[in-house]
Amino acid sequence: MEEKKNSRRSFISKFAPATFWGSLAVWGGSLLKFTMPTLLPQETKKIKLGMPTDYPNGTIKVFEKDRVVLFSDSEGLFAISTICTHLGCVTKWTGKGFDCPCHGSKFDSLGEVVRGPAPKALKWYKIDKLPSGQLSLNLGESVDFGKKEQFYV
Amino acid sequence: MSNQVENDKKPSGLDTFLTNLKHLPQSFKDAAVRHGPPSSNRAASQSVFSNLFLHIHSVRTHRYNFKKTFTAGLGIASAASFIILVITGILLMIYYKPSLLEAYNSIKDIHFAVPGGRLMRNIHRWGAHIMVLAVFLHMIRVFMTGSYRHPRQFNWVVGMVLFAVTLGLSFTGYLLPWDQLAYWATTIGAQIAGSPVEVTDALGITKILDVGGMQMRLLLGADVVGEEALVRFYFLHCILLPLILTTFIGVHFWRIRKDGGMSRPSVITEDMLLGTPVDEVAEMAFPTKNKTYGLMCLVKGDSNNVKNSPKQTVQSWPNLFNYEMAIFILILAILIVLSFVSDAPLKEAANPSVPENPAKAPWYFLGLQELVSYSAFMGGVAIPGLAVLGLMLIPFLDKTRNESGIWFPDKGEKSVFKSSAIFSAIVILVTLVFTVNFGWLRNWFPHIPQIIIVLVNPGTLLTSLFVWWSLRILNKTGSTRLGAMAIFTCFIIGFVILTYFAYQHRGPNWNFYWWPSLWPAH
Amino acid sequence: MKKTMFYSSIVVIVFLVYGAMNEYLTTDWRDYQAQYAEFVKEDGHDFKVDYRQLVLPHFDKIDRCVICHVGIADPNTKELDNPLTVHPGTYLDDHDMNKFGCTICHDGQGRATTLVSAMAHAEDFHWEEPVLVSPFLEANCARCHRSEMPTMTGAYQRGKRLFIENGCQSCHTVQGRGGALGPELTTIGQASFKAKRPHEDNEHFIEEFNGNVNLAYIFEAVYQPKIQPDSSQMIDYGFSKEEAMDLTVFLKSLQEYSVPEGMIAASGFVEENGKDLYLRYCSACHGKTGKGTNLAEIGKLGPALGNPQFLAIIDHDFLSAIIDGSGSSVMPAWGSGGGLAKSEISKISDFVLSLRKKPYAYKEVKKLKGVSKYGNISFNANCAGCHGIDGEYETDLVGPTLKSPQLLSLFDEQHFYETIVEGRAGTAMPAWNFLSKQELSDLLAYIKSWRNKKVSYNSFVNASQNGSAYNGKRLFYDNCASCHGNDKDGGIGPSLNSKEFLTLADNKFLYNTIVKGRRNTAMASYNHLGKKALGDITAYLRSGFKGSIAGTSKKKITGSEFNGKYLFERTCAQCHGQEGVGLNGPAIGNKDFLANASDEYIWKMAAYGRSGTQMKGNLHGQNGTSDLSKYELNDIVSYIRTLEKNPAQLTGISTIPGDIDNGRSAFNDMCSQCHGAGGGGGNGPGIGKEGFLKSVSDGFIVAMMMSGRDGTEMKKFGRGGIVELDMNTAMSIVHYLRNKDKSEIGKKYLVGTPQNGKILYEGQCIQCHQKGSFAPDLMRSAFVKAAPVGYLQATMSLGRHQTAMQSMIRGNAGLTELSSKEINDIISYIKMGKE
Repeated sequence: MEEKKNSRRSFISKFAPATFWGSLAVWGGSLLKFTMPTLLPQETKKIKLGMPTDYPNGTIKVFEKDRVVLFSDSEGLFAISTICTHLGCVTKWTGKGFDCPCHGSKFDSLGEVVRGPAPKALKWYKIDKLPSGQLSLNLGESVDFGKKEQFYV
Repeated sequence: MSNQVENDKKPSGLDTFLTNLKHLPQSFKDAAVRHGPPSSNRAASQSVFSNLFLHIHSVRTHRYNFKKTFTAGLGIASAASFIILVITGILLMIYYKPSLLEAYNSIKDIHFAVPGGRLMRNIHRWGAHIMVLAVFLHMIRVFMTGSYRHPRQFNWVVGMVLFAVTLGLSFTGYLLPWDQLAYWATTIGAQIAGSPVEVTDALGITKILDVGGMQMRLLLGADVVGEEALVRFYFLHCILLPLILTTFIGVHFWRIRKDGGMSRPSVITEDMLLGTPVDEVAEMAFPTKNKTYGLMCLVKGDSNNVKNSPKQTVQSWPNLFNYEMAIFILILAILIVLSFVSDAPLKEAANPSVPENPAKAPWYFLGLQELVSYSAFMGGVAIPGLAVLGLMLIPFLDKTRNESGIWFPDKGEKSVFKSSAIFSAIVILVTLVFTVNFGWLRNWFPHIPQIIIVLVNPGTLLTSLFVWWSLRILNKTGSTRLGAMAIFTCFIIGFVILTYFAYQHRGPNWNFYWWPSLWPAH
Repeated sequence: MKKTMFYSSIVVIVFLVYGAMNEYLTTDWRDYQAQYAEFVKEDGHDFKVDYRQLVLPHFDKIDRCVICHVGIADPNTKELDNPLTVHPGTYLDDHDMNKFGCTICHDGQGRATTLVSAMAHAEDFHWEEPVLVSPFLEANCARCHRSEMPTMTGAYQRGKRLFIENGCQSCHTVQGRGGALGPELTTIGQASFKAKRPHEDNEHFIEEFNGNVNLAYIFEAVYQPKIQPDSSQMIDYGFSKEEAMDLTVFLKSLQEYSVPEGMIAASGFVEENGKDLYLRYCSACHGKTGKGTNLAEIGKLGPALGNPQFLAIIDHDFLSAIIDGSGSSVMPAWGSGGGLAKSEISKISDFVLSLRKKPYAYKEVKKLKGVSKYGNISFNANCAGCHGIDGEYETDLVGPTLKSPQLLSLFDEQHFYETIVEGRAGTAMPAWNFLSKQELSDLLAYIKSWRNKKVSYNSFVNASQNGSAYNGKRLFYDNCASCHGNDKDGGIGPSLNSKEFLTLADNKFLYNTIVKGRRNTAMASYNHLGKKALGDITAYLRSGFKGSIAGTSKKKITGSEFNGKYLFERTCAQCHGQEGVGLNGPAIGNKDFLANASDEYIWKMAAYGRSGTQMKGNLHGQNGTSDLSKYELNDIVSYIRTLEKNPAQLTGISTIPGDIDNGRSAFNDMCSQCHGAGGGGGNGPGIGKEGFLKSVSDGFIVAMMMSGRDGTEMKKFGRGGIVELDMNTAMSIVHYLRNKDKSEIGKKYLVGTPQNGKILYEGQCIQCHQKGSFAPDLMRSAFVKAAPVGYLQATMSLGRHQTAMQSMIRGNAGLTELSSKEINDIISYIKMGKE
């Protein structure tokens, strides 16, 4: 009996510091998790585009403030972000492609990198069709590169 | 070594580099921590005094310090809660926005959308309460054990400063959520700061010297609680007061060491040390009273270790550190459990046009609020000011050099404590019952000048009675210690009863109610 | 020690792990999102379970409702259960969710991430805006749709109607408009539950309203207003539960909610008509209809505006002034304090005046046979106080003497009737529209009895054949020369000695003109002169005329009325006025003239003119003003004949030309001593006031001036009068009276002795009218300033039926018997030093 008690005591004595540091680690983890933001205070940006018929084949529309360019070709509608994938500068639509003024990256008319340090193609945004038939450009969601949307009127 | 080098001739530079690389962890550790593992007493000692964070401890600690019935770990508990408060506070600053529009919303965000945010805020809130409580009890312990006596007079004063700053921190933190509770408690606090206007008004010099207004404006940056006040409180709560507190905590700890460690009685028998850690090696190694290890420096105090044998001491590593770790983790555990049990309050967003009724201050100010309900200046400024001043001066007015470090060291202290407690409890209860039933001067003479109310009210009456009582004890026993004991006891009991009374029995319009459940709906 | 450390550490670990599990495994929103992810996976979409929110910086809001309602904008989720289902209706089509969020419409705690906290249905959540359900949801539409609410908000619209019709704003201010008796309601929909909550006995309302204290409070306030101890003045309207609900919806919408400018739909100010304004701001105190004798209405806080006596003597300006600011402690100053615009106050006054009983048409009254005897009694009961017993002249009368031959001869019965039933706004003459038809008929019969016996046609013809031209000349000089000239050569009236006229005017024509008069022109009826005198005058008229009196035939002349109108307006109207209302020339559109003159008379006058006057012959070859063919004259005559069906309205319009400045100076010289500056009234009637001017024609004024009024202070200003006005001056005075600026009308000045008035006031009035008593405080400067003397005279003379205010004038068997002079003394005391 006595021995059992002793052994329990020695067990506790042995593991107490370990549990102490363990508990501090768990607490520290919770503190770290606390610092990670879950929600970003950004508006869910959606641009109302109007009816699909407003964008006939060959339309190019630059939304300078929203940093996006909308294209329409025979395969459908697509929207390319003008934010450079290198370090976030805003590229400029030249009519043939996108030029980044910061470190000289160049992208072709689909946003694929052709020159410079940019690691990947420009982001493509999602275009939704609302129940009313209107189109809406969702800046909160991107789609795979090259995914053009066909909207039949 | 040198031979080898010669033998091997030129070791290639790459080899040396690779060897260094291989030894990198060890050499870095050696450079950072200059002592080995605390495998022996000597190594442990070295660890303690060569480590910045540990060297505030002495290498060996007297076994008496571990006596639970002596310190109850209250000082460490205070420090532990402060550390927890600092950590949680710093993290809360990430999400908190000190602006009128966003303050309340950011607290809601912390509550709802930040991972563990609710827990973090609860811990911070409960930590504040626990810290105030621990500091308060620590003060009582130090007084009752006579530990403020020579040579620790100054550390007592530092302790009083810490007490005041702790309350200040707690109070300034109260406003930050910018909810109804915060707004109205702060409004009351600010009004108390402005209450000297009662006296200057009575003297007719408010226009020339408006002390109350100046104090209030200094605190609020305006005449009412608003954005300026919020920013000021934020600054006080997050920068100035923590800085002061940290500094004085340093002084406090340093003085413990320099004043000869913790107080303890001159003769310590083995009976008194039951339940404390034992260093068997030391018992065997130091049978004599001679001290063999080196003298680090000369420190003041009768209980100086220099002359004494280290017989009743133990290695600080690991005994003291285990003790501290245990208390720290205990406090943390208590806070986390409390945080799960009860959320920190967050009422409606502050609305300056709808007063909280009753608008109650945080619990540790409720005793003062009760006094304030009689006279703002006396209850809010004069009496607490006198009390803090009186407390600070105790070691200089009571210069008896009797025993310290044990509860009620002098003869008759216990009975004075008991009689004072009974006296003050009766006096306070009678006064409260009287005022609740019959009112006070204003109820009988509606046109009485304010200055008379300021001078004669239940608060001043109680204070005078306490002073009279202690003078009587002082006279009767001829002992300053017993006089101090009398008035200290009276104030502590007064504080406790008034706090309880205001917390439990004061309702809307500061009327008396038996229970909060009896409060009218509005 | 180690034990403490060990167990504490275990506690820390266990609780932290438990907390983490709570947060990451058992939250509802994760479950819902997982369900939704499963649902969209069937369509091949990916959905990530994560925190979600709508950031709405323009509202200063963050709405996390979408953390559970993930499918709210996904039309495919129709069949899913609530948190995941799509938003019902088409609201989201017009209200972009990413722009509007959720709580702008639904309320609730947007930042919360759990159901109960988001609903925040009880006070424990410390959230002032719990989630609203239908119909209270309608209230929030008003946050953006301000002045024009969508039609689907039925409860709101009904509530708003109730709010207006029960006059809530009579006591409650909403956005700076409304009374001050009750608490302001501008933000009642946002009232803190700390400040406004239902009475203890009604705590169950809070539960019934889903824990929404604000709604429970509002509902209680309209459903059981008396239960709140501090709202004793609130009227219990006895609303049904449904009505109270509707009102609650409307009241809940009263909020000051900051919404960015661009998101506000229809913020314009809606103009309301006088009735709605009255209902909204006045009806709570003055009664919903303000109508008549409804005793229940009188019990309300303010005087019943529907009281006929009050309506009878009130005029628009006074009413507006009282509404603007009465200075009473109870009645708010609606202009400055109540926030109403001048135009709105004017609309309210118009509405109140429209409550006046419509007087009976003259024709209806005329159908009854009046009994002069009863009329006499009625006159002495109602009119004698001001107009003298039996209409006889006395020295101090508030009203003018009516028993004056000139007045009786000029004013025909219809105009007497109209003056009686419409009163004269701005003077002491009330509108007696509350008298019964029979009473009015009796009164008219009595007044008619004052006139001399009618001279019959035959006796007139006899008398004129035997008349003495010598006597006639003297009579003509006294009675006619003022207008027609000393030698019948014309003045204001036409020349009478032209041969064309004398040829055409046969006995019948003269009889009709002289004996019957020509109503609404200066040509009075002179039958009071008696047949002898009339015969003499006729003889004098015809003396010196050598031709034969041809008279005219009754033959009808036909022509193109349309062309006639065109010609008339181009040629005749220059002198005779449009539609023949008369200018320099006589008013040939006058009904009596047209009835009297035959087509031939008119045709000949137009064709050959009237020598000695401005009227020249217009027939081709006559060298007249115009050169017209016979047919064109036919056209003109046929046009003039059409005027008979629609005769020129001569009363109330300015027809006589003149020089306004001359008229002003002449008026000030000769008339204003009695009639006051600008005709505002004094000892003489207020002839400059609209009430008088609109009931008489220019001719009436001229005739009164020229002939005076026997038995009154009004002297003759014509030939032989105290002053002999020339034609131009007389016309200018009339022109001035008609065309002066309203601001020229002075306050009625009053000759009274304030010292005497004070004694009388303290003896007779102060019992009821002292401050704080039940009767209005008459010494309020705003009231005294606004109240016209006539109003005060009338109120004191008449009293006010169904109130404690009794008649005070002598002979009316009222509270006391004051003379008119004493009444004036009292008024002069009341008005002393306040104007």
